Amino acid sequence: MRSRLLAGAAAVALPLLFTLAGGVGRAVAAPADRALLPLDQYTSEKGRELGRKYAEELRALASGIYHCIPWLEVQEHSLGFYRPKHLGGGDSRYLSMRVFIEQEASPDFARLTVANQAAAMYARYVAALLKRMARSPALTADPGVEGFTIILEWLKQSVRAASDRPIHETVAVFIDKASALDFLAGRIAPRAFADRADIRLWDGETSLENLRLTRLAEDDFVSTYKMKNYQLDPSVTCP
Amino acid sequence: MRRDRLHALAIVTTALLTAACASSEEWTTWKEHPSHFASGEHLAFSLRNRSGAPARVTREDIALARSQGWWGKPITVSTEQILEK
Repeated sequence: MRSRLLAGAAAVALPLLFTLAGGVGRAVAAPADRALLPLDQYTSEKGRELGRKYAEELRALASGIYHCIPWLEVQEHSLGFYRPKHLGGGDSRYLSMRVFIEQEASPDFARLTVANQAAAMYARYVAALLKRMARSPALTADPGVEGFTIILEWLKQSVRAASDRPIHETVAVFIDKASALDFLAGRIAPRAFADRADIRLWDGETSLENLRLTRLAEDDFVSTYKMKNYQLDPSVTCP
Repeated sequence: MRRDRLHALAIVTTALLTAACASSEEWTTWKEHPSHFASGEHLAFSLRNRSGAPARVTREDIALARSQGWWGKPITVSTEQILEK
């Protein structure tokens, strides 16, 4: 109910906000600049070098998502060559990205278990984002890039007091580069890809058990959904 | 006694089957009606100009609306728990 109320309130307030803001909206910082992990924040020269070498590819990736999948928000400084913590020693660098998914409050979605919600988000976004992340042949051929991390989060739909902070549910998908490229080339099926991936799940700050996908829905939402009234920047072409 | 046990077993079995079916139905609903999870409409819909025609919402408008911190600071796992820079 709270989510519905918030969504309803947003429906009323946001258009007003747009109207009042007028041209101020043009002052929002360029998305790519905010999305990229700054070079001085890398903790190893390997990571920093990858960040420097593929800065343009990362900017193009961030910009493409920003304009073409406008209901997704690449989180600030989340796009870069991070090292997955669970891999332990060494300096394995994965091209990583953390994305917030804006979506309508939905009773149908809320009725799914947290694991099935995560599976639904996985089915909807992981392949679509991985395809974009692996678009550069030079990047995917670079031996310094060992895999991909996609972190998806969305607003948990739950009844809460107005004073309560919102809670996000989060799923993180780690996949080694060879498996990712096999999947994108159609050499392995989605089921095999999911089996090879390390998929982790959080409810707020609480880690849940590693997610084993028992069902894999086919979902072409990202390529078919058109947001109502959305005006694409004329200088942008979406695939 | 034996009849009571059978009765209890029947109740538990029925409950488990019902739960399983509900889960399956919910999943099917999600698969068959993906538009129920349409995203971002609340950031763009119902914005109309004086002539009554739908107004156009740019990506900058959406970014600006989000930048206002509408939902407040969320409780979520930190990136530092998952990844190292």
